[in-house]
Parts: sequence; C-alpha cells; structure tokens
Amino acid sequence: MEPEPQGNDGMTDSIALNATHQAKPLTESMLVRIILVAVTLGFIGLMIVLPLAVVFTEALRQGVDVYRAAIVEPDAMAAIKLTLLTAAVSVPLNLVFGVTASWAIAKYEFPGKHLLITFIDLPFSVSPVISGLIYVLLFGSHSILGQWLDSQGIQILFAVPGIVLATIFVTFPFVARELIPLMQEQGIEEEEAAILLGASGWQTFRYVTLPNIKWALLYGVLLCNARAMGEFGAVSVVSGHIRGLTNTIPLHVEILYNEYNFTAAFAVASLLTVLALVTLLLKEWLERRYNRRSAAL
Amino acid sequence: MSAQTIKFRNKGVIPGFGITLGFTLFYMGLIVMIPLAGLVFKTLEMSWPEFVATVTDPRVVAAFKISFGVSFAAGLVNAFFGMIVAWVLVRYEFPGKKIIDAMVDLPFALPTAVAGIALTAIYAQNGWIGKHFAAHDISIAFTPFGIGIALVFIGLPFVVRTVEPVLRDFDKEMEEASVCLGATRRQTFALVILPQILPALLAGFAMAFARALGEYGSVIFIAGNMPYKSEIVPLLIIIKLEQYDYAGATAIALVTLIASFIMLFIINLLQKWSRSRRGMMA
Amino acid sequence: MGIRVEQIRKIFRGSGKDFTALEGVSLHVRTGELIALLGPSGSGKTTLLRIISGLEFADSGEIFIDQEQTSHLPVQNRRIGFVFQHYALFRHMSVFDNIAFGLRVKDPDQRPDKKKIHDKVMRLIDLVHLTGLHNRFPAKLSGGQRQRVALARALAVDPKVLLLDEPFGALDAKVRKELRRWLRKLHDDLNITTVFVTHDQEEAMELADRVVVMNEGRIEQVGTPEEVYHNPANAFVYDFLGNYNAFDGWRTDSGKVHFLKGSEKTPPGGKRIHLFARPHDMDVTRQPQDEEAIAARIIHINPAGPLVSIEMENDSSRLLQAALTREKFEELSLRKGETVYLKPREMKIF
Repeated sequence: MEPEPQGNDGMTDSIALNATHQAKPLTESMLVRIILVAVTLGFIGLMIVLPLAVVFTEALRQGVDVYRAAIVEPDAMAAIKLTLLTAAVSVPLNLVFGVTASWAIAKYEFPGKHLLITFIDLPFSVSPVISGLIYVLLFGSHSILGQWLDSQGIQILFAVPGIVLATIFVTFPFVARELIPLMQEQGIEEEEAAILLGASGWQTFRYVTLPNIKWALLYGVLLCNARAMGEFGAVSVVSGHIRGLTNTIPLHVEILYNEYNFTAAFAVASLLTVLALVTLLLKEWLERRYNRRSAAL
Repeated sequence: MSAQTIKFRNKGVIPGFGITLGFTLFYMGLIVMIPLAGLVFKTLEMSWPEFVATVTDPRVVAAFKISFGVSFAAGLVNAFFGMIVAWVLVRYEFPGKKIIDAMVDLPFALPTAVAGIALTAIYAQNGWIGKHFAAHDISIAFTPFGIGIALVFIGLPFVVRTVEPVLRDFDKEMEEASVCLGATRRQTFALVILPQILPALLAGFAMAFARALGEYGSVIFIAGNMPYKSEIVPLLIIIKLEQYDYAGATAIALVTLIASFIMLFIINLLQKWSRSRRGMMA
Repeated sequence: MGIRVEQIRKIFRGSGKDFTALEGVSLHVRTGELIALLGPSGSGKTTLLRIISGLEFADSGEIFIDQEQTSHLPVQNRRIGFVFQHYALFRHMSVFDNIAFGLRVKDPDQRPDKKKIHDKVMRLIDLVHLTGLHNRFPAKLSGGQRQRVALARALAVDPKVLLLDEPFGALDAKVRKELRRWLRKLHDDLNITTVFVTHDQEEAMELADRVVVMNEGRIEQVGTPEEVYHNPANAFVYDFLGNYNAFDGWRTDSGKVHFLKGSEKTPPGGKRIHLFARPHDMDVTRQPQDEEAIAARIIHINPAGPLVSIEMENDSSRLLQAALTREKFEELSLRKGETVYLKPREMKIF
C-alpha cells in the first residue's frame, strides 16, 4: 500500500472538525462524540480528580502552619522514616528478584515456566489482608516457627521485620511483570551474539540486556516503590499499630483519621498523594521515552 | 528454531541458568510458598465440620454477599464507563486528553488508605457531595453504595487499560469494509467492533472484580462496617484475627483465595479467547 | 454503470506542509471495463480509488457513477464493492458470515430472507472456488483464499462497480499470478465495471482493458496496454512500463539522428536529444554494423528467464541492457568481459 499521508484517517478525529457538506461514514456523529467526551470528562473528573482535590484542600484547610506541624510531629516523622526504610529494603530486593526472574524466564526454556509466571502474578489477585494473614500464621506465637523465634528473642510480627516482609510479598511482582513480556519480546538473539563473541554472562547482561530494558526497569521500580510506600491492608495486619514504632504513613493516616484529626490525616496523606502524582508524571515521561504502553496493572 | 517444541531443559548458550532460576525459586519459596503453605496447614488443622460452620455463619455469609455483590456491581459500572473512556482516549482528540489519560492510572498509584479517606470526605453526610444528598435524606457513605463507589475507584484502570490496546490495534479497514458493504455506523460498531473487543472488556471486568473482592484500605473508611449491612470480607478476616480466632480467619481467607484463583483462571481463558477472536492464533 | 471522474482535486494538509495527492484528475471508465490505475507510491492512485468509493472526500470535483452524482451519497449507499490489499475480513466471523454480512445489514424492507441469503452466499462461495470452507475462520485460510472471500463478500451486494486496492500485493508471486488469471476470468463472466490499483506494471498490462498511468497526482496517459507500451506519451510512462536504455544524441534539421559517443559534443546546428530503446530491441553483434554502433563491455549475463539478459558498460561507464533470445545468445556465444557492439532497432525520442 502506498505510504501516502492519511490526513483524515477517521481514527483520531478532532472534535472541532471542519465540517464538510458530506457525511463522514467512518466515525460517529458529532453529537455522539461530544456526549462521549463529556461522559468521560465527567466520570474521570468525579471519580479521580475530585478525590485528588479533596486531599489537598482538606490538608490545607487550617493553613500552611498546621499542615507543616502535622508532618513534623514526632509520630508522623517516625511513620515517614519507617515507610522510607521499608521501601529502601523491599524495592532493591524486588528489583534484583524481578531482573533475575525475568532473565530466567525470557532467556531459557524449562518446564513449569507458565506456572512460575502465574505464581509471580499471585499477589495481584490476593487480598492485601490475606497477604498479611499468611505472615501472621507463619510467624504468630502459636505457630512452630513463631515459638522458636520467641525463644530466640527475635520478633518478626508486630515489628519492623514483619512489615518489611509483608511489603516485599505484596510488591515483588511489579518489576518482574514489567520486564517479563518485554524481555520475551526481545528474544535471546542479541545475548547469544554477545556470548559467541566471547562476553561473559555478566558482561552480556550489563552491556547488551540492560540497555534494552532500562526504561521498563525504571518504570517497574517506580510502581514497586509507590506500592511499597502506600501499602495498607497487609501492613495493617502484621503491624500491631504501635504509634511511633510500627506505623507506616498509611497506618498513621488511619490513626489520625480515626481520632477525628482530619486535617492532620489529610496533611500526612498528601505526602503520598504527591508521590503518586510524581509517579504518574514520571510514568508518562518514561512511556514517551520507550514509546510503548506497558503491560502495567 | 522453534522454541515451542523444546520441552526439556535447554540451557543453550547463555550462561546463568542455574543461578538465576535458583535464586528466583529460592526467593519465591521464601516469600510466597512457605507463607502460603502455612495457610494451607492451618486450614488443615481445622476439621471439616468446623470449617463449614465458620464459613456458613450468617455474619460471614452476609459479608460474602456484600463483597461479591458490590464488587460485581462496581465491575459492571467500570465495564460500561471504562469502555467509553477507552474509546474516547483512543479515537478522539480533545483539550485535556493527556491529563485524563494520566489520571486513569491514579487509582493504581495512590495508596488505598488515602483514597479511602478522600472518598469518605466527599460522600459523608457533611462531605462535598454527601451533604447535597443528605439534604434529601440519602446517605452514600456508610452504606453498600459508598462501598461501591470506592470499588469503582480502584477498579477503574483495569477495564480502560485492557480495552485500550485492542482498540488501538483495531484494523480500520474492517470498519471501512463494513461501511462499503452498506452497514450504518451503529451496525458497524455492534457487529464488527464490539464482538472483537468483548473478550478484552470481559477480561478487564474480571480483573476489576477480582481486585475489588479483596480490597481493604479504600473501603473501610467509607463502609461503615456494620455487620450484616456494610461489612466486607477482608474486614471480617481482620476482626477474627483481633479476636485470635486464627482458624476462623484462615477459613474465610481460604474461600476468598479459591474465589480469586477461579477468577484468575477465567481471566486467563478470556485473554486467550480475545486473542483468538482477533485472529491472532493460527 | 460507467464511472466519470471530473476534475478531482485532493490536498492532504499536514502540520507545516501540504501534500497534493490529486491535481484536477479526470477520467472516464466505460461500463463493463476493467481498468488499472498504475503508478509509483505517492502517485495518487489509491487516493483516487478511495475517493471514487467514498472512503475519502475530494476537495473539489465530481464523481458520477452510472450518470448519478455521488458526492452527497454516503458510502453505504453507493453500492460499491471494495477489496482491500490486506483483505479486511471480519476475523470473528466465518467465511459464510463474512460474505453474508452485506446482505444481513440491509434495511428490513430490502433484506432477502434467510434462505435466499444462504443460497446466494453458497453460490458465491462456489464461484470463488472455496466450496466446503464456509465454516472456516479467516485465521485458518491462506492469503489467496482470504482474498477470494473478500471478493465474494464484495460481490454479494451486487455492486455497480468493483474497486480493488492492490488486491494481490500481499500475496506471493505464484499465488499472485493464479489470482490474476482468475480475476480476469471472473470479470469476463460477470462484466462488472472494475477499477484496480497496482504499482506492478506487469499486472496492469496483463489484466486491464485500459491502463491509467499516474504520477504525482496527475494522469500521464490513458490507453490500452499496447498503446501505453508502444506509444508512451512521455518519458515517465516509458520508464515506468519497462526497462530501457538511455542514449545521448543529436539530430540534424533534416531529422537524421546521431549518437554522441564518449565526450563528444553536439555539433553546431544540431539539436541535443535523448534516445530510449528497450533491451529486447537492441541488436548485438561482435563487429560494428556501422559507425553509429556503440561499443560496450559485458559485465554480467543473466541466463534465467525467457530471454537472456546481458548487462554492459559503454566507454562512458553508462549501464546498458540487452535481452537476447536463447538462440541468438548461443549463436554469438558471448562471455563476460567481451566487447560487443549495440545498435537499437527501434527507438523513442523524448
């Protein structure tokens, strides 16, 4: 087919179309289009933009000073520190896992591969509460492992290690899910070429594979981080809710809210909201860079 | 080289198979398998009659009804509006399109607790929108309706992002052929376009539904959490945990897990069907 | 059911620059004719086809199908059969449902009943030699089979006019040849006015009653295959319709023509011209026939094909081609590196 510029290709139509006297058979009528766009704007505006607006409005309702005070308050700071610590541990670990698992899946053939991929998707289909529950069952003081840990004086549940573990569980698929389809699509030929030219496994990875996956990797890390910092359900179950000690930012928000300290709750919540917005911005930017809609979700 | 026909372990030329697969299995074993096994063992500790009694307790059944029912309804809402949003994003240009596009992903990036308190602030009796309804004696928050809104929020991206790629790759020439053969725009949509995006739409619905079933953070603030009325299953699990009824919590969790796996399986099938519908499987 | 194209203009407005796809093109297709729109990419042939069909709209000009003006008619009402290069079959429907589609979407008062539709579809399936495959899905058909389904689907609604957009472009050579032959026969049987677009001059020459040679939005020439091949209107048509050799030369006032060899210059009083000759119109001899004969060294011999193709280089390093019959080639027993003499039997001057 000729590569002629299809100026009016019916695929993306400007709402403000220069109307011709002829009927356009390939798109909906102008009225229908306007209605659909209006419905979209209304739906997204109501469901998403409004909640966003609420967070910031409520956070600043009593002025900037109250806002700042809510954030620098000791318990809040402790929550922030714990959240950062959790992310700082889970994200790199899950990054290593994600890269390793994707490499294993994309570059080799072995039985059970499909099963492995399904299991990697597991945390996505499991309720966060259940994710927390399984750790409680494993490490709780009534279980064998729990009793042994108690005897050794090691506390996992209702302490920081438990929180970190639960967070790792909930967020470990993110990097892998970004990389697996991409690496499968890219195939193994470049790596094979490198090996045949004498590169070691590590060199191949560093100089051949890594440049090809770096944007997807970055994106996976972004999502992993956003979720690690924002996880609520799973952490809620394993945490013990001890103010100043085992509360992450989301848990702290819950506490403030339940105490009717709304402004402070929204103030702290706004931190994570800003993080979410930054994540989205970076995502848009990254998608333009590596020019592909990710498998995300 | 047909990779599909190689069934046995094939290390090929690229090194690192042992170490990468080994680490992968080790990590997964540690983080996923062992804890999951713990769940299974705990369930086995319970006798069958105990299990049945726990799961059929009226309060539990009520919670399941609410969770399943509202999740299903929210999924339907998302299917309908998600379809429209996906269509508009793929086929039209309008001011603000890029922003809307980015906003669709917000429920995925925003912590559920933040979503929870924000939605409650909007729909509570004195909330931004709630107060208008309160004037007419209608409550949104603390009812299943409020739960529904929260579940629509968190499920929103699933339908949109699942349908979008199928729409984007849609062969425009099929629409042209349809029109040349005499079909109206409506007929073209109903007979040519919709059948081909239907599987993706259903898959998106199933994903939103599965996600909604287990959702906790965004729901508990707006739900009211009254037993038999607006109590969801995840909350029930936590309540049982706080009462040290580990067996009960586990039983409920297991039922939910099985439901989730069934959903996963269905989603997988739907995605296969989607690809065959679009002629992508020989 | 003739087609009349009157002064069609089409400009694609891009960001920054505009692209003129068609510059006031006019054409008359007689009822029952099979014509080819032939030209390189960007010549406007597909745009013209799509404007005739109603899938695109012209900026000015008119289209008349069977004396009826069509610009106000939406595509659905033009009764056009359109066949796409990549088939555009409905992937989720079987062969039967694809072909029946046009009949099923008709208005209730015009729709034939189920039995009539069934019979008609089955007849069409037989017509395109796909008997027995009515329940198959497009994914399980070969390219040639898919294109035949596309054709049957277009024919099902009894179109006034059949339009094909590079219908065989996506098929491999052997299938292409078969389908060409088959389309010709189908056209002879059904006698529908047909317009097809191609960039393959062999295809156009083989199939069409008349060929419309297009270039850069203009029609260069319209004529039977013999006419455009032997009496090309200009250098473009000549070039597009086959290989050729180009020579520099000059002519005297009395019309006598001479070649310019090497670095010769046109003598005063003579007019500089370009001469063109087809490879199979070149005489090749080991000794120069006369002083006009051109010396050339053989650089490549391609023996595959009905004629033996010889590539040569003259003393100004210009590439020349000759095509000899097998017998002639063996008679001369030519070898790579040898020098021979060329003289065209027949030439064109532009």
